[in-house]
Parts: sequence; C-alpha cells; structure tokens
Amino acid sequence: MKAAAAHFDGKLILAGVAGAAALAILGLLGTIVWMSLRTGVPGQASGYTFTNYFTLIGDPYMYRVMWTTLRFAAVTIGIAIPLGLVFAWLIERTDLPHKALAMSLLGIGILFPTFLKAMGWVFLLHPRIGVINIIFMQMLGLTAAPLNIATVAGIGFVEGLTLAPLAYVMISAALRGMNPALVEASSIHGVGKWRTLLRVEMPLIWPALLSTVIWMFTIALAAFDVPGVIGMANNIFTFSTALYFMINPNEGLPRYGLSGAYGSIMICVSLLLMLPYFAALRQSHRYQIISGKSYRASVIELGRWRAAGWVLIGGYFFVAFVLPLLAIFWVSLLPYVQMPSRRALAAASFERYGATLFDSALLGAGWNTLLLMVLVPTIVVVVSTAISWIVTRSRLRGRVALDAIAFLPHPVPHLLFALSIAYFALLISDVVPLYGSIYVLIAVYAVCWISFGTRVLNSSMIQVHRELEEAAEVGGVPTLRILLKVIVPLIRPGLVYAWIWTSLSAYRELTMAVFLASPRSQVLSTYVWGQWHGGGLGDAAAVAIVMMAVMSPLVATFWIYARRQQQVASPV
Amino acid sequence: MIEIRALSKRFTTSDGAVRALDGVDLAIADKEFFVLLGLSGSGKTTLLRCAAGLEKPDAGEILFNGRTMSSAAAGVFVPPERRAIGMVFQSYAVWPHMTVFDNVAFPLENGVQRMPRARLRERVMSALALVQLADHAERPVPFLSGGQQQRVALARAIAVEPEVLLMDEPLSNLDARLREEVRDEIRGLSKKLGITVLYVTHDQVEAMALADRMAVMSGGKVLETGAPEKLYHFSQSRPVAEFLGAMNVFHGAVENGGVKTAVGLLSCALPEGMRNEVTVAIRPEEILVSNSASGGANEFPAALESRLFLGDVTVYHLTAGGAKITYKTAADPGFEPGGRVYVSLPAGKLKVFAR
Repeated sequence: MKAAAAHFDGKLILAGVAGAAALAILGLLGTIVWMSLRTGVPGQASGYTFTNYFTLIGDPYMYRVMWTTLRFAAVTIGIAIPLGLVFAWLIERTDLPHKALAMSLLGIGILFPTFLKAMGWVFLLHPRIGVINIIFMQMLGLTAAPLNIATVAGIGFVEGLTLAPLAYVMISAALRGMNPALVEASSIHGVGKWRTLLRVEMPLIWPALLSTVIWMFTIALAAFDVPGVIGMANNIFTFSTALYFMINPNEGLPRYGLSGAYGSIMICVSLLLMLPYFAALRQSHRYQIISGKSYRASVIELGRWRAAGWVLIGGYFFVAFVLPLLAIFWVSLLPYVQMPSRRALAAASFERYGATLFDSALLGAGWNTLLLMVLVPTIVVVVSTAISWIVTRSRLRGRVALDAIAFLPHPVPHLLFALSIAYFALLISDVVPLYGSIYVLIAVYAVCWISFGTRVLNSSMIQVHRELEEAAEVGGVPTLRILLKVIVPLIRPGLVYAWIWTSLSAYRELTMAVFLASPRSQVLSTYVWGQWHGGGLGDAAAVAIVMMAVMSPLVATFWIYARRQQQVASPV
Repeated sequence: MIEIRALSKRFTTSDGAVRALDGVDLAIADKEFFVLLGLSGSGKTTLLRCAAGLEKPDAGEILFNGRTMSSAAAGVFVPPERRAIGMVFQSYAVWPHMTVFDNVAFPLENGVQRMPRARLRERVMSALALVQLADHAERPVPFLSGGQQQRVALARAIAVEPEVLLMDEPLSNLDARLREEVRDEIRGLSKKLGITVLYVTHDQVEAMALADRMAVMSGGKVLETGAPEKLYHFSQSRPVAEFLGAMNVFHGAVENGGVKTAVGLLSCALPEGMRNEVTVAIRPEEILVSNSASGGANEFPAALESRLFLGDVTVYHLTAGGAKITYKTAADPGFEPGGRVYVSLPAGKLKVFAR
C-alpha cells in the first residue's frame, strides 16, 4: 500500500523476494528462447540464427513424435475423463455409502510416484516379462502376448489411470459448486432424475469438463514418468522423452539449440492452451453459486447399483494402485523376473533388500532427497507468502503481472525449466560451479512449485479480512511484523498444506531430476531410474518398494491434515 | 480539531475512474462527535480512511489540531501510526488467533507506542474496564459474542489513547437490539473520554442518535453539514431532508406568496429567490388529520386508503388531488380506511425546495 510510507522497508523486502522469483521464472523461460536461437554447446561463440527452427520443421522424426504425443494424450484423456466423471458423479450426486473412504482411495493414489506405478505396469503387461501376459498365454495356449503395455495405447492407459483422480477432483469441484436449485427446479416440474441429469446437469458441467480436458491435455504433453519408464526403452517417444533424448543422446553431443527451439514451441503451445482453459473455467464459474452454506440437492438413490458403484471405485483402486504395487513387490523378492509359481515362491526372499539398501550411492541419494524435501518446501512457502501478500494485499503496481508470472510454471512443462537451468548452470559453470550440484535441483523445484504455493496462499490470504491488517497498521505495527504475527497465524493451515504437498512432490519428482542429476546429485527417483534403464529391474523394484514404504506415513499425515483442513488437492 | 480542505480522491476501477471524494471541506471541533452519513458509494468511508492515513488523497489537505497530516500540494503524508488515532472497523477486525487481552495489547507491544510490561498491562486492563470486558481478558476472541467482539475493537482503539477516534460503521454487523445498546455505550464513552470522534454510517437514525454534528454525503461531496435537529427540520436540500426521514411532497408553482399545488394553494414561508416551480414538503408526523374541517389555512379533504399499525406509531395512507400522503401519529385516532378526513399542513413545518 503506497499510503504507509513508514512501512516501506518491510514492503521492500517482500517486493524484493517476489521480484527475484518472478525474474527467475521469466529468466528461465527466456533462456529457452535464447538457446533456441543459438547453435553449439553452451558458452561457445555463435551468432543468432533460426537454423534450429528450420531443422525442426524439416525433420520427419518430429512429426512422428507429435503424432505419438497426440495419440498418447487422446488415450490419456479418454481414460481419465470418463473415470473422473463417473467418480465425481457417484460421490457428489448419489447416495453411495462410505464416501469419505471412496475419496481417500481416489486421492491417495495421486500422491505416490507415477514412475513407480509405471514400472509396475511393465511387470504386469510387458509382452515378454509381464505376469498377466504370461498367465494368459499359458491358460489360453497363445504363442504371442495378448496385451502390450509398451505401445502408445499402453502408456496412455497408464497415464490415464494415474490422472483419473485429478479429473475427479476437478469435476467434482464443479458439481459441488453447482446451484442445487437449478437441478431441483427441473425435478419439481416433473422431469425425472435421469433426464435431469442428462438435460440439466450435464450441460451445466460441460464447461468444467472442457477445462478439465484441456488441463489433462497440457499434462499429457508434459508427462515424462510414464513415457520415460515404459515408452523410451521401446522406442516410443513423446514430446518430453524426445526432448530428453536430445539432451542425453546415446551418441554425439547434446543438441541444446534444437531442444531450445523445441522447448520454445512447447511454451507457446502450453500458453495458448490456457486461453480456452480460462475461457471454459470462467464459463463454469458463472454457473456456480457463491454461498457455500446452501442446502444440498437431493441425491440420486442408487438402490441395487450401490454395489456397482463401489465395485467401480474399489476396482479402480485395485487396478491403478494395488496391482502395480504387488507386481513391483513380487519382482523385488526374486533373483530374476519370473511368473508367480510355487517354485518362484520358494526362491522369493528379502535378500535383495539387504544388498541394495546399504549401497552408498543409494544412501547419498536418500540424503539429497531429504535435503530437497526440507529446503524446497521451505523456500516455496516463504517466496509464495511474499508473492501472495503482494498480489492479494498490497496495491503495488504490477501485482497482477506478478500473479500471472507466478502462475506460468503451472502450464509450462517443468522439464523445460530443468533444461533451461541446466543450460544456464553450464553457461556460468566457470564462474559459479553449480552444474551438477543438488542446489540446481533445489532452485528449479522451488521455481516450478511457486505456482502451486501461490495458488494455495492466494486463496488463504483472500479469506483474511483486510481490516485485520489495517487495525494493526493504524497502531503502527511494521509490515513484516503484521505479516508474521497476524497473517501467518491465520493462514497457517494453508501454509502447512502447501509445505507438506511440496515436500511430497519433491520426494516423488522424477522429470526435473533426470534432466539435472549428476553422480553427485542423485536423488531416490533418479537412482531408481538409473537402475531401471541399466537393467537392474529387481534392484529398482526393491528401492521402489522402500520408497513407497517410507512415503506412506507422510502421505497418511498429509491426507489426514488436508481432510481436516478441507483442503483437498486441486490443481488451480 | 480536524480540518479537511478541498479533499479529492480518485479510484481507478475496471469501469474507469471513480471520484470517491470530490472537493470535500469540513471542520470538526475538538471533542465533537461528528458523523458522516451517506449511502454506499457516497465517499464517506474513503473520507474516513483518508483521515486515518489508510488512503492517500490526490488533492487537498487534512489537519489535526493545526498539524498537517496530509497535503497533496506540499507532499506531506503522515502515516497512520503517527496521527494519534484509534480506529474501529466495520468487521471488528479483532484478531481471531489472540485473546481479548492480546488483541488490545498487540498494537501497544508492536506498534509505535511501546511501553514497559507493567504499564502496558495497566493500560490494557483500564481500556477493557471501560468497555466492561475486564473479566474476559484471557478469553480467546472467537468465544465472544458479536457485541463483545465489537467492544474489544473499541477497547483496542482507545487503549492507544488517541486524540481522534475513527469509526467505520462499527454497528452494522450487530443485530438491531444490540445495535442500540452498543450505540449508546459508544456515545457515552466518547463523552467520558472527551475525544474527537469521526464516525461513518449509512443509518440515519444511528447518525442522529450519535452526532453532535453530522455531514450528509453523496457522490463524493458533502451535501450539508449541521446538528441532527437542524438538518432534520431545516435542511436546505431535498435529498438531505429525504435521506433523514420520509416526506410528503407536493409539486407546484409560486403564486401570491404561496404555492399552488394539486391540493390547493399552500401558504408558507418562501425562502429568498424561490420562484416558479418548487416542491413543498412536510414530514408524515408533522401533518394534522381530523374528522372534521376546522376551516384553517392549508386544509384540504383527503380519502383514507389504508391503516398500518406498527405498535409505537400508526401510519395512514391518504390520497388527495391525486397525490399520495402519509400520516404518522403516536396517538392513534382510530380512523377507518375508506373514510373521508381533513388534512391540514402547519405553515411553519412546510419546507420549500427549488425544483
């Protein structure tokens, strides 16, 4: 607020922190564009040129990648949206019993690392080693595997399964916000419930559905875990894995210029997608009621179909979560991958755990992961608090732009930020030897998750009445002290929520880590990734199981806390 | 003593610039209880916030006891905490994570007026005693009722021992019964402490009950200033008079020292310079109604349309010469709707406004 000149010091600090973060975001995106206009390795003298774009446009391989990515995204959406829609409808609109349990089963899955689930699916449905395939072949006497996960449809299926809970969260928010009077007006005038569902409810949630589809599409474009774990080894490349391959080719030098051109195009596409996304979101908000205390629309009685509803939700949980987990566990117990049988069971042991777990590289990776889990959320929460305070509480010019910049890492694929900071670190490596260190990971994680932190804290801070602050201001309490003693205690649930979520994300993150990890900055996810692509499937599986086990209490804590604070994960 | 001179403030919203304050001049005497009355958007809250230092005016000056607090021309702007003010907010703005005591103590511990622990305790407790909350000092504020929370806000504002107390619709979140009670407490407390109060409200009854003097605001301007009785009975402008209470209005033209209207020629005192088209107005409780004609001046027959019993008063709706007339009386004469009555308008009570 420009009025209170005496508090300028505190505001200056907040503005400085927020400004530095905004600069980092814009700088990293700018670096991508800059590198797209240059050739050679970082630091090498080169003029500015559009060569990279021409190379890209003339390369038929790129069109194949684009086509693969589109098909992958289509399958992902085709799986995630119908599942999410049915789950949302069952939980928000019907008398399904034990809804809290249903929500937990759907929500918890999101929090576990996607790449681990992808590994599980390889063990289940790979044409050669997939357990389900082998069972089918033996039972039906087939000579070839009936199902193959290492296809575009296969990776789309796995990605779709993991994104279904997110689709559910987004769609159910729309269903919950819908004015029940609109539905009741239809019922009262004698329109049947099922007809009301089709003619009133569906058209009303259509914009929300559309915005969810667009959001899923941007996620699929950027998705790395599933295409990386399942697709890459089988020569299926999507945007993200193709980009990874450009920087980590089997032979030759990293092609930074080309990846820059490629990244610039991805930035444009993801930002352009935000236009229809926000248009649809605005439209869906128009259909929503403001008051949260309103009565609820009467639910549809499922009757005999209640069981079917639970079969669907329970089935989903089993297929999307339990089954891949079991597969990983099974593989981790065996000396080599084999079918479940009495002979195999006899060979099963925890021997591998003892051997792998005390590997010094793994311990180093564990320590690095712990650093990330503590430092990244702390930075994110502090910086986001500064940004959100400026955006929601101050009247500084440029606060709207600041909010938009803080949002940027949300739609723009994170791997581009990783690519950019890798290039930047290489560029300055003679002066500041950060390249390959854990600090690079800390920086890029923090930059990317500021978008999440500010979304959570913006909505927390908006709920704190401005007069609570002014009351302290009139008494002459300095800005930073008001922030710490009045605002922070009042938004503590939002702060804790953002901290834990970011910490969990730092634990499960693979995409940015594989772009940046060097031998001295290994983290758990890249350790598993290295084992996996180095052929140590059983070791990878054992570490994966340990990762899940370590994570479980954290997830449980987070889930209980989030439920109590009524903060359930939502992307925007 | 508060002086406000040619104060202007503009806001830029998505619909363009809004003149929240448009050349406001006011002089508020020492220890005066001064009320700013107006509808939402009239600029009254902006004026209060400018006085507090929470908004910076674009033009004009604000002086407290001769000291310049804000002067756009001279580039002077004293921040809120250097203005020796206390402020009570519309939403109470009591900090929900603190106790009653901590709420009052917080500005004294962290603000400009830091003081030793013992003196602070004394200061807080005496402020709480003034609002009868000394017994509740250690309670967390969410456990208090709305009225008690408002008193915490009041205690916090007076604990800093301000020269000027600023209040922004402090009663609007209370229910009707409580509002009157707290209203009277606020008035009593301000007189007891002998401080200057600037008070914002949109409720004319509240304004009249509290104010030594008041200013009626609209569109960022002060329409009229004066004591409540003066504005109620002798307002110079029709919008002000109508804002303070309902009125019966008769349109007409000046003729023979009176005004020719649909109910006949009304004789009344015409202010200087009043000619041609004018509006004559009178409050519903000021007219006289009787069963029989008395033959006096300004008398005319009227048809009795309906009767509304409100407990302390009874309201009748009448029509005469096509005009609707409201009659309000504490002593219900018990007229039956459908009957015929005679209305007379006391010449001394008639207000004449130019049209």
